[in-house]
Amino acid sequence: MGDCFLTFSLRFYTRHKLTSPFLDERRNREVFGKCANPSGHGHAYVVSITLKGQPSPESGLLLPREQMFRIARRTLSPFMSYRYINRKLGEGFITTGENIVKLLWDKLQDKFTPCTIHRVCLQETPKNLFAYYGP
Amino acid sequence: MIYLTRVSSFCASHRYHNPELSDEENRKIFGKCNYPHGHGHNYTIEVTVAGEMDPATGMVINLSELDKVIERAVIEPLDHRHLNLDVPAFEREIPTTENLARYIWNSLEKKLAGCRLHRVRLYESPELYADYLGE
Repeated sequence: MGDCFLTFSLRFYTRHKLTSPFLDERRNREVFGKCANPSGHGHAYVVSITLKGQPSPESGLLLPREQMFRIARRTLSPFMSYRYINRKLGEGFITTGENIVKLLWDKLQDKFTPCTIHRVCLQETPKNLFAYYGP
Repeated sequence: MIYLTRVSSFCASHRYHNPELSDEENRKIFGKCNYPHGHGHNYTIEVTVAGEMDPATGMVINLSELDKVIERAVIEPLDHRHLNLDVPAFEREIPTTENLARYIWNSLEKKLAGCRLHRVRLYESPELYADYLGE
């Protein structure tokens, strides 16, 4: 039997600001535009996690639903949920969608055994979507 | 190769319950999905077929043909049914989204002429869907 892929999504209301410690203020402004406004701004990020595996013969599920959502929420909330993500992740971390989606992958990677993670998607706005399939 | 996706929907009720487990274990694994009288979803299915275009029609498959196949093989047996009670395949197997995606794949796969089934995506809700791509 082929593997099944299960995708579930969670929403996080997060403040961020795009700024690079490697660039001066003028250059930051040029590169990041209004995303570099000093007080930051926010998004309703939608994180979609795709698990891959075989449904358990006992339950027919890749993972029990409550467990699956709980793991994701517990892992990601400390820096994503109603947080200022720049502050949580430190100055060296540029909070672009690209960087965040890779970080989410790293944090979630070993949390859903026996399933593996096939893809993590981060929707910053309905117009921006970042996907990561692992290194 | 062209990939074509057709969207359809059906509404059904179900209950997650494994009679071989105790009530307590069932409640622990399935949570609210184990409530005794079941619950329901508005399912959305995306059927993706792959094939080469027929030069005479410019189509991979005539959409009205594809609709007929989906209607007969999927919608008619599932729509406004209780999946555990009304669908023979789920008398024993638990109608989880994972199992249902595979059931839909198996119902459709042999019925398509001139193209092959590439993927079945089944949305249980906007936040959760399963993909099955065959063996």
